[in-house]
Amino acid sequence: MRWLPLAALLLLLSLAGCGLRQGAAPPEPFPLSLSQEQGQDLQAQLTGVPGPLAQAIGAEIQIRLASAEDSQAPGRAVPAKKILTELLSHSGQPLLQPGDEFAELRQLIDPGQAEPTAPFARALASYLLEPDFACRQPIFHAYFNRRYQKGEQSVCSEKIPLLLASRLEGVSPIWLDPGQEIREVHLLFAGQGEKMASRFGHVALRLLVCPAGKDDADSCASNLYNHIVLGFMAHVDEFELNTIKALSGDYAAHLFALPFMDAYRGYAIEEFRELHSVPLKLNSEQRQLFVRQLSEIHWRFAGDYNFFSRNCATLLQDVLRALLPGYKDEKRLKKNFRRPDTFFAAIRQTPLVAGKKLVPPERAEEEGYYFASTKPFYAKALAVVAGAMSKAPFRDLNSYLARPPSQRLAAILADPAYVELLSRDPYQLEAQLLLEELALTRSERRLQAQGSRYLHDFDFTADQLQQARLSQQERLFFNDCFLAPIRQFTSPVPRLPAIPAETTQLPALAPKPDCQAQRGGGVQLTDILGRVNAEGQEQWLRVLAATQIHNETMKNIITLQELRHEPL
Amino acid sequence: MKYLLTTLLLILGTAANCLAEETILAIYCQSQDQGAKIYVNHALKGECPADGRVTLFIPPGPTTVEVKKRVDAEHERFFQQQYTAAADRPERIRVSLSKPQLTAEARQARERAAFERDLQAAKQGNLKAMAVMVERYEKGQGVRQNSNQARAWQNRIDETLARKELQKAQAGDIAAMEGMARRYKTGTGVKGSRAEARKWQENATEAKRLAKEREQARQKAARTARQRAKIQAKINAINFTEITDAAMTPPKGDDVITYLTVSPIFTAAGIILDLTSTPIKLTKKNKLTKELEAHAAAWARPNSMVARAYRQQRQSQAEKEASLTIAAR
Repeated sequence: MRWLPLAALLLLLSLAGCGLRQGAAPPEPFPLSLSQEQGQDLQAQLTGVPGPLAQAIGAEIQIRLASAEDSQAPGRAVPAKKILTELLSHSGQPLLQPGDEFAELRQLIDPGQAEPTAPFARALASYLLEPDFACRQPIFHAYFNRRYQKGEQSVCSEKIPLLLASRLEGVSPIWLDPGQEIREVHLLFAGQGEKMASRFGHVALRLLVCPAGKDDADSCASNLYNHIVLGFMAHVDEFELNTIKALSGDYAAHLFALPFMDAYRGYAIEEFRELHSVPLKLNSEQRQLFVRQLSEIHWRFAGDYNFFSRNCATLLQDVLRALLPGYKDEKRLKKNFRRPDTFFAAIRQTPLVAGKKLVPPERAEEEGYYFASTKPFYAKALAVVAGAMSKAPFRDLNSYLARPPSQRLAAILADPAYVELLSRDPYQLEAQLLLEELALTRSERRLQAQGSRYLHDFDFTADQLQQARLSQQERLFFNDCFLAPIRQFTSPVPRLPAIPAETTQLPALAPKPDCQAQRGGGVQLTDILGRVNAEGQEQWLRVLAATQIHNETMKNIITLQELRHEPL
Repeated sequence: MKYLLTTLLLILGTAANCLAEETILAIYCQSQDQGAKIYVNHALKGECPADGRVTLFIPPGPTTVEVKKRVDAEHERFFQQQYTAAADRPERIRVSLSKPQLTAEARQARERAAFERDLQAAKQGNLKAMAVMVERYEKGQGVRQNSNQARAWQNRIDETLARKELQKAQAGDIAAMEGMARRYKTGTGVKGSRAEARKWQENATEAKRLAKEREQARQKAARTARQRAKIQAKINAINFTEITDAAMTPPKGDDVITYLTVSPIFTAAGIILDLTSTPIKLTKKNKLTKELEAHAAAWARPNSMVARAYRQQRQSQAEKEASLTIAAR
């Protein structure tokens, strides 16, 4: 933040300077002129352009040709797109002006920029001259097709890339064919949670990705492990969320992609919330285009995230309003809902979605439209376990989870009859395993809390490293396996000007060194951190203690799994 | 003629003189020593009689009296006394036989047998026996003294020691390497070679350096282990409830962090968790996590879509593992 006052001062000075120069500057010269040859070349490249649009551009070219004697024509080396962009950006013809819809669509990918003329000219020039524009910028492509009444709708057959952020595998790109691999798009609503931020629920989109080689409804619906959730989220580039920043829009918002099962785990298991997933009513062509457009937003959008006014619900409504056929005509959705729950309650009543799929809940759960909170499942498991142990040292889930893992295992092993029951009754064993698995998820959150606190107070200055007297090998390890991931965590999410066409165009992801394999990874990191951050030692010990709890819980699970005879 | 007469007179005079100068030696044996043989100046003079007394006439001069009584084939009881017999003074000696001891012949036979034993052992490479052979030949113990033989056996000792030292040196023994360097320098047990001596000295120096490094690493590891033990003790002292409570209370009292509100790209804890896990645990963790995600629904609601996906996932995983196993074969 030290640079902020300096930057502000420079900005003021530069604005003042602009003002002075404007006062003394001569009037702007007439825009670029064209030579006869250049005009002909440009028109030749615009064959196939719908009539009125071709006429408008032709008229613009004529104006420039007429003024060629008054000013210099650009050299032949200037690319046609640049000439056309310049030409369009100075046109006064209504047909070549950005309308309200363009401005609205632009908010989906490049919000905050007030002046629409130059972006419009750039986009229209690309639309007219670049053959793969439909694949790179499907939002504007569809818009221009509509506006200029070009018949074709979906002219792109390429796969789309998404940067999938998975809990286990980290960030990696995946390529999907919207026509072949995505069966449905659902609106996903996570029910209310106990925390303030989750009190109103959360809303996102879910792509039903089909398994390889299958596209029937049943196979696609049950392919949950490959379904993808697209949701607007804040990119918190620090280790502890700052409430003031969250409320004042100081975090960046992006349309992130993550595995559905990660979302299910986060909601249904970690937060005991229920999920509703309602299909959007889209035909195949509409669905393909919509998914491509979502991909464009995924790669391009970077807005502000405000917990109350620009949140997952409002940002998603902006997208649906602009891109979902029929949305704008739906009276029940005229209002801009700020709460995910009220928005979901409204849209599920409309014909835009297949709302009936959500009832009755039992059938919805069987068909994959409703995902119950797992709290009653774990409570049931607890009752089964408590009923079978000779002397259960817990009353409920909370008192079970409040016991250290070693004590939990000791209580089991101290009850030979119960151990014997576990080894012969799969149902009983799975119930016991479930409780330990729940404890594992809790221990991960515990570790998150402790780790975040440690990193929040971590001094990353070079002095620390200097004082720690690390060897060359230790410095490299510490950089690759600790500082580099931290730097990536705190860096802005990379944005692209369009959907990438191939892997080489994807943002460079930091190489992931095999830190575990490097001389006992974690042990080495523990040693180094023990020396590097002397002031944070107390909190580091807490991190290690939380790690130990996590490890012991995992050991409990492994011990119990060894009693398993048959897979569930 | 005159000469002949003179010589005859001298001989007769001497004989008469001798007879006249004999002296008496009285030997008193003990009654139980009857039959013991009596030697005077190593000449057998008789046996101890039943009454024990023997009188002998012996010439004056240094006299050795020995009395021996055989006990068995190898042992005898023995008495010896030396004195100077005087012509005018009879001598009386009281015999007191020793306890049974080896006879000289037996002693010689035994020494020969011992020599043979040592020789065989030495030939078989027994270093101690070889050293005995060196000493025997040097001092003539059980064999005639022979310095050439003594040197030959010493050479064999050196060669044997050199072979053993070479084995140790080749196995990395630093002292043996230095020993080999000395041997090649002095030609002890091996053919002298400066190059070999230098090579072994360099080997020893390098091995010492490595050993020092190993020792330093060992000490460092021990220090680290002690530090870890201290850290572990501190960790153990942290109350479980304290950690649990801290985890349940959001940082700084904020209540905003919730799933999907923030980007999932990285979580700080994920970094820590991955790095503080052991590789085995990390692999298991991923497998467990996959299982965990749908396990509850599969157990409690077997007809739910999550349960179906879980079963499909496990089946697909099993098929994948099976195909990998087949491919590995």
